[in-house]
Amino acid sequence: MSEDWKKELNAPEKDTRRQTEDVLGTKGNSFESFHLKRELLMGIFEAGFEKPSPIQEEAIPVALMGRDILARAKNGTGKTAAFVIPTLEKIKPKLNKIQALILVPTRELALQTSQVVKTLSNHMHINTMVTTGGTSLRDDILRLHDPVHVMVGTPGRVLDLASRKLAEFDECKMFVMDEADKMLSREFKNIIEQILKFFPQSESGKGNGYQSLLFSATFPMTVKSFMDDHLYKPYEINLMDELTLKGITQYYAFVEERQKLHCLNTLFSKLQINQAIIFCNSTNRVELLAKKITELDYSCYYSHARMPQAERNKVFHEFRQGKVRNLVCTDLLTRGIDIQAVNVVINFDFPKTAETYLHRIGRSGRFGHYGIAINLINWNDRFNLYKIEQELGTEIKPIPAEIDKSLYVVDEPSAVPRPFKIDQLPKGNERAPGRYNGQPRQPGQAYSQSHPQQQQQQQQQQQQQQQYEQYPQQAQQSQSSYPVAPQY
Amino acid sequence: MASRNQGHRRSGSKTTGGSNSTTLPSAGSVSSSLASTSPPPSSELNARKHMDDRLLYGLVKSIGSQAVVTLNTGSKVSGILYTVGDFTDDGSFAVCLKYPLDSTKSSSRSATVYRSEYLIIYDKDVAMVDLHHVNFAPESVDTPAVVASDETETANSENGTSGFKTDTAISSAHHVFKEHTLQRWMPDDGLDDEPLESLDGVNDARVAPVSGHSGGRWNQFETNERKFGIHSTFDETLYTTKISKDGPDYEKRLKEAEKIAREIESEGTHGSIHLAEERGRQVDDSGMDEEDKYSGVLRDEPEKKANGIHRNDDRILMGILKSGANVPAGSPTSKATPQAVKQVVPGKYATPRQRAAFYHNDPAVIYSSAVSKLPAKPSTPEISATKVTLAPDPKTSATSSSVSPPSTVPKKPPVKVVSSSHAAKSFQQQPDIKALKEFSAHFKLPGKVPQDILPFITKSRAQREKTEKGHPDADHEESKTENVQKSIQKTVQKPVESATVSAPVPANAATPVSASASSSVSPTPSTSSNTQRANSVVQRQHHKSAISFFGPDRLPAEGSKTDKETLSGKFNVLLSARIEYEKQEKPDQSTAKATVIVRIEKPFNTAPTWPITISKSYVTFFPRQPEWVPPPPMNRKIYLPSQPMPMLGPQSMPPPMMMPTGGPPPMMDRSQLSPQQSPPQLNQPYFPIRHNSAAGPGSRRGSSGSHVHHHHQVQQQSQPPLQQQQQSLPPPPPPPQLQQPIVPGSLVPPGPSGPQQQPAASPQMSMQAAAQMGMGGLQMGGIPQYQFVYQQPQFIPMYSPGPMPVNGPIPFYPSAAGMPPPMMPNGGNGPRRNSRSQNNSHYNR
Repeated sequence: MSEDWKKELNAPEKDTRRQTEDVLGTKGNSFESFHLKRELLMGIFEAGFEKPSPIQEEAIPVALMGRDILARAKNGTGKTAAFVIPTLEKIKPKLNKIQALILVPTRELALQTSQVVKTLSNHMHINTMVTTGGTSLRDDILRLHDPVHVMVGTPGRVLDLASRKLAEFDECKMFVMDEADKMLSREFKNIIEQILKFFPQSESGKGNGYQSLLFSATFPMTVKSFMDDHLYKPYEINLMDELTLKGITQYYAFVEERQKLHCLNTLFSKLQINQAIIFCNSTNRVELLAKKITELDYSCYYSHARMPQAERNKVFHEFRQGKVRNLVCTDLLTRGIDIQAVNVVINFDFPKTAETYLHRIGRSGRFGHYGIAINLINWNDRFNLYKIEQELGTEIKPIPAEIDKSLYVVDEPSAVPRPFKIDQLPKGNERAPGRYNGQPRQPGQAYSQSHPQQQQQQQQQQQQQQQYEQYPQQAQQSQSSYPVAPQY
Repeated sequence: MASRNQGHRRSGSKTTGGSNSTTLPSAGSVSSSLASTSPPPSSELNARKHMDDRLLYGLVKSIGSQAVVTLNTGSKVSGILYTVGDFTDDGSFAVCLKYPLDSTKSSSRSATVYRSEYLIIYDKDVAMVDLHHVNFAPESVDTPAVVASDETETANSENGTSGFKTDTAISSAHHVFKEHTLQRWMPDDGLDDEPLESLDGVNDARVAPVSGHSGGRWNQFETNERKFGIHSTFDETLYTTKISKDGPDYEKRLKEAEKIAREIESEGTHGSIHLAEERGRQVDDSGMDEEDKYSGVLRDEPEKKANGIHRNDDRILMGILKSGANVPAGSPTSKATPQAVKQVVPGKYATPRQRAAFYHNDPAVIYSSAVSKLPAKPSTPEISATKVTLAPDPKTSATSSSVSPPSTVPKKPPVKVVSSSHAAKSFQQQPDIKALKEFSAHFKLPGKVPQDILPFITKSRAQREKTEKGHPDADHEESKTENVQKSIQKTVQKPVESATVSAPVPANAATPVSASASSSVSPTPSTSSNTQRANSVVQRQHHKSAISFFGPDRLPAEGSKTDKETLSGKFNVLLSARIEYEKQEKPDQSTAKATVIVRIEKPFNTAPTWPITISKSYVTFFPRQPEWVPPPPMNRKIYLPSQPMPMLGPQSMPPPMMMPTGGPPPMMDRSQLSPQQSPPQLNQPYFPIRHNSAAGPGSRRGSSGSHVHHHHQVQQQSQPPLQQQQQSLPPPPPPPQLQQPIVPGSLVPPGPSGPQQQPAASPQMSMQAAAQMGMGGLQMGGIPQYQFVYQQPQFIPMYSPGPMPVNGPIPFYPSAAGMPPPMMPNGGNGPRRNSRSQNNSHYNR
């Protein structure tokens, strides 16, 4: 009887990809064991969650108890749900006040977090609002006229709304910061401390009148001063005994600056990219590279902070939906962005800090899946490479002639979950016939031969299902591995 | 005496305390005991015992290796460290060398030959023990996994006292970093004939920035739709709430909201770049890239600075950027080069070296990156009127429409040339009109006026000749512009002398002034006159003329070259020093030039990068992007994979020990590397500087508290043997700079104390490695070789030269009563057996 409601659920197709210990190493709890509201559980299962990841297992019960939490867990291991689920559990839908504030450093991340909240609270009848810069402030003010239960936003806009009493936090008992290390970086910290002044004060004078949840994958600096000032007996969760994800293999290609594009093109032609994010260090390079990539006949969007927010949102949305195969961006999208289908991250320019590097490569290998990160290193970057290797205690290997497919290849791209119902699979890595088709392969050197069975299987699939669009690069390789003209 | 030694030892080690003490639990406890200035005797004893334990550990670990013992006399004895004598209660010990050799190379005395096979040296005679290639690794290494899991558990337990771990704390548990050479990526053969265009052009400023909202930009949506059929389906209600537009009062609410939104967006941002961005302002944040803004955590100095200085920095930066690049420009030496804060070159790719500037937190470097690499040429028409041009060229002054063309009759001045700058507001707030007028009197064209401006400054050739006539004695070598300058300076004195507000300004004087001031920022009050506008320019340039210095009636005879030089050189230390030097030289030519001593004292600590102390805005010093960005500071950890380091024998050195090549010599305090120390050294080629002992480089140590004094003594006393050692060692290898206080601090206050705390001499031992590796339990398997320097920081000059005779029984280690074997590797069996079986025998010889 009690399980009847489960049958009604509109759960997505199961993601069949392999996962690593990063998300599988749990104590074996289930979401039901947290005694959550039925409506919330429905949202959770409809979102495709099956059982809690380690960080969720650790954080949710403690957060439900009302403790402040300072937690770190690796990229893409379910932090967002770990704070959204207890937050939603504590929301009273009948109370038409802002009851939870979730702060994130970037606008795209705010959109994404809000979407997660909306998905999980699908059956709870609550309203979730995003408020970030770059959008119409007037519209946000109008939105606040209607009941809002959960507010997700960036600190600047939230402070503007709060200081005018447009958004009232006097009933807001939940304060959440994702990417807490960045949020406590000096440009945000001041704003956040001002926002917290609008939060309810503790009646007893002990602790705070609200609960704080701080999550991040990196804490390059100690956040002790903020902890002392604003958290009350925080429960610390540290699930990391190493920094990098187990599922991500990191490579470098030591190139000259002028070779980078050439190298990238080679990578495109050799790798089986499901979706790729390519990071550059400046907005200008982002735009030029994106243009170059489309000129090479790969579909590609770009995003950076100097674009109008409407365009940024569009790019973000379409890439998450998997419509476009490649995304070139700055560090605007380094943190938190969760696109399950990304299996390749390319650092076209190498970052300067270790935490940036860690977050960048964490865009692939989401939720314990496998992925690769390739760094194009030039002569000037070599010290930074050493430094970051050392700071992360990880090893970045030279890129081999052939990369083991089991390290990153997505077998069934259609099964990869998308934020919204799938309408299209990524396009754009198919190349027009007769044009430059990437790297011609030496006979006998073709790395696809290293997995003959797999390839055969894939070719069969291809023929049977005519899924050419889903395996464009693979098809290309299988053809280019023979020294004959491609058959189109 | 003895207890003072103790104080030396501890204070010395304290100042070498490093920053990475947090990684080691044992080091943490040490530093905490350091903090107490007057500890109770028990902890004091404890601390000393810890010290002795570490020293003993280091020495015992070094048994069998080649040792060079520098004696207090300065002579050196080399030999194989055979064994170590016990530490007695008063802390004394002895080292025993086998096959001793006198290795004092510089000594002119006949080299002493040691007859005996063994030589025992008491610690009171030891100045330093130098040991190379010491293996501090414990023999049995715990597996890293065990350590890591333990730490994780303690972190998970809610009252774990260790605190929340940072990234490096986590990664260090897995630290198996090995240096490796990068393997170059080679393009496969097939593609070589088809080289792709690189993105190199991006760095070229000539490439027009693609970003911005101009129409000519590449449309990614259009391209992708055309090529790949990708349509956009974004709908914001997927992410946020829907605006209900059907309420009866929707129109009213809409207007209300619009009004509030406008109010909010026009608010000040208090210097927060994030706030400004969120309110939709276009901020030129070229000092920050998107990694700084959205991903990287700004490495901060301690909290105090974050609240004080940096916010100010932000504010200054915002002020500069927002005011449309109205930077106060100009210096007397800037030669009227128009300086402009960079027109946005958005997202210019910064090379990692440039990016490294952010690590310094060096405002100079950061700001310089915000300054255009291409200085606008004076004559190019691209210079917009908003840019500050110090001395205008014809075109800029022509383009700024508000400027009245110069004429003999002063026209009604424009009310505001550039309004809304911060400078304008603050300027208007100044109530003291008198002061303004005084300034107007002092106005002088700063720097040379370019030739092409002259026609604008003086209306006609005839006028110019007229002004030149006013100075018949003017040096012909001086350019005509200088003449013009002086004439202006002279003529503008008149209003001051008349001292009336509405003093009519002579036309030929005021005109050039207004012409020069017109295109620069001259926010004048509405009642301004030409003189006031000129005045504002002068003030903004922080240029004081002779009048302002001497007063109008005591102005020295103008126009003479020497006076001008004096004035310009007065405030430059180097210039004035040279002037003095030249003066001094004239009366007595026989004085050798080289021996002139110029003592240059720094009046205060200046910021590290600019050497000049003239009170000018630093912005003026960075008119363009420096071609050379200084390398990161010395104390940063840098891997230099390709450079051979003489002392670092094995390729794998752990990070704390890593020193850049050419690091500080032994015993050199870290603070000696600070920029405050460097100017005297830099000046040496120009002015021979003799430091007296008080002003020597050793006296400016960055140590604190009551230890400073003793520390100085130690440093100075210990220098002679040091220098000798450096000379005699063929390659002077910088020993591992020990930044970690391994000595538990200056626990013993100077002065007499109990006999228990009076060791004959107390060693200062730099043995960070021992402390870390041995005590911290950090396994360093496979990194066997360290340089281990034991240094005794005392130099006792009255000691007779020559090697020390062996005088009496020393209690060797195992025979000491009540001395537990602390920290002995392998349970201490090896050394114990050695010392017992053999020492006693050779000892009685």
